[in-house]
Amino acid sequence: MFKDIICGCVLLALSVGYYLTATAFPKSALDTSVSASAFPEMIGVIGAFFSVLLIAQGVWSASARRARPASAGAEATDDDALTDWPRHKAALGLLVIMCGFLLLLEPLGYPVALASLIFVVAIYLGMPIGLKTASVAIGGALFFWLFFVQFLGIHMPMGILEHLGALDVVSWPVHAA
Amino acid sequence: MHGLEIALHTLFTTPAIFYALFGVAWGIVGGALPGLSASISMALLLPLTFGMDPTMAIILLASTYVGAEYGGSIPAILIRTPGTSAAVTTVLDGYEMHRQGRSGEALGISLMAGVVGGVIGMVLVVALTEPLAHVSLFFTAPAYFALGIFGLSLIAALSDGAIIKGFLSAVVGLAIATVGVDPLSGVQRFTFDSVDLMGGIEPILIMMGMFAITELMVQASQKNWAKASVRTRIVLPSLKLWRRISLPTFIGTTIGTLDGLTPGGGSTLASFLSYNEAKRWSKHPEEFGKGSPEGIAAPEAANNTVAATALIPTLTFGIPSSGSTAVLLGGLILHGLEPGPLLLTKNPDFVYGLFGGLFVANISQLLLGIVMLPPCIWLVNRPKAYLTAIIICLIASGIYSLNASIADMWIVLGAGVIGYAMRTLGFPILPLVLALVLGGIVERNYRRSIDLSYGDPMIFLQDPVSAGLLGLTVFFVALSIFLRLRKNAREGKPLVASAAPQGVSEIAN
Repeated sequence: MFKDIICGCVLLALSVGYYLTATAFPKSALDTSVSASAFPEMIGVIGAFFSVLLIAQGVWSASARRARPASAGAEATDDDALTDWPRHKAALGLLVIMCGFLLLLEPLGYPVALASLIFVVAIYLGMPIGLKTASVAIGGALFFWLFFVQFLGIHMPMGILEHLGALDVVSWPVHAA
Repeated sequence: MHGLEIALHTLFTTPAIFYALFGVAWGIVGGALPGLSASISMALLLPLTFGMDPTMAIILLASTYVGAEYGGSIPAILIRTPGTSAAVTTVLDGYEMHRQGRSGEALGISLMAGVVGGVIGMVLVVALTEPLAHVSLFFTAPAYFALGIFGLSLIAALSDGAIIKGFLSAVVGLAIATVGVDPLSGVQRFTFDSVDLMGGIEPILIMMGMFAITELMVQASQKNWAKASVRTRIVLPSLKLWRRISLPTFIGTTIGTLDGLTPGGGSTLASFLSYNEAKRWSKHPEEFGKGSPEGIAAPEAANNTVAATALIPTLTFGIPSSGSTAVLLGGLILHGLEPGPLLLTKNPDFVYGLFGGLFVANISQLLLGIVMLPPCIWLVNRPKAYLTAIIICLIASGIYSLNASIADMWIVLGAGVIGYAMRTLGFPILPLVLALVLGGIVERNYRRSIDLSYGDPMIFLQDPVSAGLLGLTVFFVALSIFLRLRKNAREGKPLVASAAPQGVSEIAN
């Protein structure tokens, strides 16, 4: 159960860091008998306590497993999920696409960034590069732009469209909010 | 009578009926799409409720929960893929009936049993909420603190096979809840001088990340689901069939009621238990798993009953029983409503208005279940890649519309990554979300109590309600540990064996 031991160590380090940061909070003139750091300090201590328990559980399980090789089958399932690299790779790819979308949202503008996002995600998840995928991407972006910007009246970043003056062409006076 | 007047007034003078209908329709669609589930469908709507009247917003969210419980049975019956985790048991007999050419009948049973379960559940909600609200008279600041600790400990201790990880998950949630400027002293806590963090991290961002983004990341490696027949039409049960499914519907409703009232119970557990009990009491147990109508009626009645009765602990004590009710709780906080014993006393208009809306939601499910079937089948048959892309757009647009902040969207992505890691490492997500939602209430009442007692923590033991709740907390945690150790010993596992990572389709429903 090395994953539990590693998780426990990481969480213990975080709990200690959290506790130390809490102890460094400045005192306020508005503080009563309980300062702003009291509750976080308590959480830090409880977090450290359960982290130590997790480490102990990991060590105990590992030694029990070593003593009982027959239970190796059950352990393998546990590790399988952790080392299912194709699954993690697919998840990471999607995450990178979403990060790219956030980085490009303001420069490209909401409609263009959305269309790009739909197009890239669809291709990443197995759709062919073609007119159909492009149509879905443009249609989807248009739907979201109409709903959020025109119907709900939410101000989304317009990026390059703003510079091109496209807003003047496509804005309708139907703001609901 | 006063409550009925408020409910009728809300229904006929506000757009409550519209929101109830829209919520059920959206819930059916969300439940029908494998990978979305009830909690994610609700979380996706949460940003859009910002700025709405609180009663309308919560009617919308709670109606989504109602609709999703039925929606989950559509792909379970038609393509052997449960739309929600509570619909797993519906697959057993539903898909068999579909293979026998009886998919319309199976959907009809699911719909009717769900409506009956939901309406009975709502009657119980109305009957039990008011008496429970009288308990509010005995609640002081120490009692509220103890109630929060009781709820968190119960959810953490009941986390499937991972007690220590459940508590750690709750601790992380409490830690996130402390980020931002302290409202009492004005001290900046864990903001690292970032303006974006000064207002704290809104629970909705973490919910979106942990429920929706995590699920999309998990689904990224999964294959497309099967296609459903577009010709399917619902066939409502005949009188003869009704006689047969009445007992399993009653069993499902009873178990659903008890499970909904139990924090940590949830609709998935209710479905499994009611399926087993229906089989045990059936005159034809040999038909279970081979296309038995009773095998659909019991779990569907159970999960719809849970969708109603789970409101009782959520509203009256602020203790949700599942991911969906945790999102609902987040919605209450987002709209400035503090769940707990005082909710009914302080906001009777909200509570009875919600009940009125939910009655409409449960009854309208009968019609919407029929009307929404063709669009659901159409959506299920679309390529998963497009649906995933559209859901990401919905999340991104919804989150940006909250505060027009890119930083919020980064927080959602970060929460998604943490949620993915937690699922892979076997940490339950629900305690974290619940702790985040309740963190502010717990801390506020802790500080108020200590202030009242001039720094003496014994106040928590001197207050009888607080002492009783803390005693119950210790009892339930000790009992959970004892039961877990005994189970491990019986199964020949090491006494402290850790929980397995959560599977691909497992998410708190």
